[in-house]
Amino acid sequence: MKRAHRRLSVPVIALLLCCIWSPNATASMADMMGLGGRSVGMVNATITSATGAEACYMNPANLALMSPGFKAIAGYQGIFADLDSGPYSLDIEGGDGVLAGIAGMIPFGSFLKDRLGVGVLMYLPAKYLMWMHLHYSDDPHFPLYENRYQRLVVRPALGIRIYDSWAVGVSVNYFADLSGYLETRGDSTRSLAARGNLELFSNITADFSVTGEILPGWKTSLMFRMEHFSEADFLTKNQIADLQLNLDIDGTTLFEPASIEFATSYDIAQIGLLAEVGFIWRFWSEYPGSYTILDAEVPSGTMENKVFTPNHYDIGAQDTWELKLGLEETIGFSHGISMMIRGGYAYESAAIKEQTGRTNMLDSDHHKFGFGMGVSWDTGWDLLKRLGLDIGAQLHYMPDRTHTKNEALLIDENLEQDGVQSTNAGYPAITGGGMVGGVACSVSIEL
Amino acid sequence: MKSHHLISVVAGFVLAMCCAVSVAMASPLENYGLGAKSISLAASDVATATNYTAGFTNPAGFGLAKDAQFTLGYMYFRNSMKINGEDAGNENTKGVSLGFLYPIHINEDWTFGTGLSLYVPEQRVVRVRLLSPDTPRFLQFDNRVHRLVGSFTNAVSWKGLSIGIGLNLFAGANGRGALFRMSSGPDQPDLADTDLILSLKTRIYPSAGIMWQATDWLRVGFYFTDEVQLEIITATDADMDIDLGFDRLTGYAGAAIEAITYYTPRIFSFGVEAQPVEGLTLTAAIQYMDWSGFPGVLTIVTPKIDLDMDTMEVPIEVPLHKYEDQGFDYQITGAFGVEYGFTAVGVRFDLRAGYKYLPSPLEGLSEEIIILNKERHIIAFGAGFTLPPFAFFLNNTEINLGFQYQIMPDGHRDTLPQASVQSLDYEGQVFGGSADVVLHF
Repeated sequence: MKRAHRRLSVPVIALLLCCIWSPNATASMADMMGLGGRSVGMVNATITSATGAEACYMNPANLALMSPGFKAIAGYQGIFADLDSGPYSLDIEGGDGVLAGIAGMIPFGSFLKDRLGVGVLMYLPAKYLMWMHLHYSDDPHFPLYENRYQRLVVRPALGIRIYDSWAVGVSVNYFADLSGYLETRGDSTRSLAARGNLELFSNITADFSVTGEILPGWKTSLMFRMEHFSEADFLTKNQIADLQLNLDIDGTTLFEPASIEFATSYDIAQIGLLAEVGFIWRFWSEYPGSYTILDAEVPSGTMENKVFTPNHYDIGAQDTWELKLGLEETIGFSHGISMMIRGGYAYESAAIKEQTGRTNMLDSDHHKFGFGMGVSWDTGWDLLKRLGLDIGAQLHYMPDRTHTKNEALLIDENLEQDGVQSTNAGYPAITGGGMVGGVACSVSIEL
Repeated sequence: MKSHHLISVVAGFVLAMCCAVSVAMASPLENYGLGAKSISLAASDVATATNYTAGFTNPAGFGLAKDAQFTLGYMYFRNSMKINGEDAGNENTKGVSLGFLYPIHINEDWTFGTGLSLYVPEQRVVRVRLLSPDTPRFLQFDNRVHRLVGSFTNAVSWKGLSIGIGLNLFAGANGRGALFRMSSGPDQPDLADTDLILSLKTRIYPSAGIMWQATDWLRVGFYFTDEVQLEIITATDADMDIDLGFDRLTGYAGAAIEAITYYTPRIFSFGVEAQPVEGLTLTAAIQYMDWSGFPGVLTIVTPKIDLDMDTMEVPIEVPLHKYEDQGFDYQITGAFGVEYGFTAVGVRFDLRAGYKYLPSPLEGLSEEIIILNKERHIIAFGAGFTLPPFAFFLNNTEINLGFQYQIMPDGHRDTLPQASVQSLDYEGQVFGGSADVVLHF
């Protein structure tokens, strides 16, 4: 039987290492809503209790505290939005996908016996592996929701048990930057021809965690997630005869800030209740904004080309804090069947200050509500020990927030008329808010 | 005259964004093979591979695997291509290969095998290199060496007959593209701004294979994968309101761009493995690759131009390349390999060698597009060592080394009279290999 466990754990190791270098999430569905019915239903307040593949994102240290064998998960989830700011509304692009994962203990012997746990969690968007949107500098949009989830997630993780019920873990985040150039000119056939290079470069960050049981039933975890983002840098040089048009586009997409997360939970076994409280500090002040920086040189009709100065704007990004509470009540029935009822609430402060200048990045406080249910069956069989089904829903509510422009910070677009003439969509004021929701359904097996 | 040039250059910018594209012609695995064992047998293992290599040579191999395996490897190939005696600038191939294979032996007759095979290039995940039509390029060593490749494979076997299916994940590039707006003049501030949407669309392509252990000493395999064609579909629009001093330019210039950026032909492979005597294995494979379906290496550009000057009308004429028959045809390759294994001092040794012949898929030559390609001869060799359990490894550990030397005979072609170089002499050599470690469980 021991040998069977070892063999069953093989794919766990392999899956982990197979994906260490694969394209991964920067910002992703996991960062926004969580992955899997349980995490979504508890507003991601599962840092101390996540196990199996869900731990690859939530807390990789938990992988080293698993029982022998392996756990696999598969499911579907998606999001929808009802966000608007007057005439502007947010369209969700590619908001659904499939998740799958596997995790288990590595079947090593000697001093590594029952010490290493590994796993990989994947989210495959149904429509796009990656979707990037960089805006005009004055476009009204919701940067924390519009372009954070359209990304393939492959999150391999490793946990190491260092002493008794204490473990450390690391989760690798591998993703890509877009870079390239295009150069156009007349070729030998007198036609206009282009040459250039478009590349997706590798970019790696990692998340680290430590977890442990202070007293029976009382767990605590600390996690640090590195900042990660994708950059797009694109240069075009064009020449016909002696005239040039050069455009250098630079921008940051799919940004996710560094964060420090602390959580503690208590499992009151007598009444089947698990409660977790978590606190997260996210360093959104490093967010450069989702607009492009364009360095342009165009013909001016004279011998000298017209050179446009690159635009840089202070978008007013600021750090956020989040406080969250998750609850899970387990009710046991006969024949090894259990039902779980879950819920959660989280509050996160706004990441963007009032938009008084040219940019119109809309954000306000976030109230997150979660609800979910699960059923599991301890089969008593040798190969398939447990079968589970989890569903979860999450709703983010952003109250309306009005941003009033400071005329001194706007560009007067017609100097010949009195007062400030501006076509900025946020002038003189713009109000934005609304709701974003997500649902997830996942099945899990334990072998 | 100056304004004529001006409008041409603005319109030309958007039209010429992708006037020519050098296509990523399949993956590096079709150039060399995946895994040290396959590389040392010159990829003749269509009926042989029962490891992670089978994800790309024949998915049915997963159903005939005896034990679970995890593989970690590294591949390096030096692509030395020369034009008129000078280095053509083709980058080398470097990357990590990974795989796992997990067979579930349901009973004595039935086995279900599942797993992943992955190759990740070291330098970059994906590269799409754009070349003007008159730029000489080695078609199969240009973008082809930079491509992330992954396959999820499942197979079922019954009494030695295995059927497998692989799902290969790719990304197609599309998106609205870039919108530019630029305005300048004495009565308004300078503005140069961009709105950009780019996306990689999820694309999944299947492959399938059959492997049959006909007798104790004979196994045959058949593999099929359909044509894979990935495109880039995007557009560029520039809105302009620019005071030129002597006139004012307003309007927009744009282009919808569509091109094939990645192509793998439809492939049929047939392979045989025979073990005539103890320890000796002979492999052979023949492969049909239908390159005739390849539409070509140029883009389709649909212009959208509406530019006005206050005081004059200027006709806009931007000559564009058009598709033409670029001379691609089917390709039949042949490969064979030999492996001899023996055990000494508790270690299993396997010595391997192979040869493969690849004719060129180019039947004729395009006048305008300078594609350099000739047949290739591939000579391969390698070795494997299987170690018994040691330290904290509870099962056998296998180490494989594989090397290849590829020769492309000298070639010559002429270009158009107006080209800067009218005569091109070219040659190519490739040398490299792969090493991997396989953990058995």
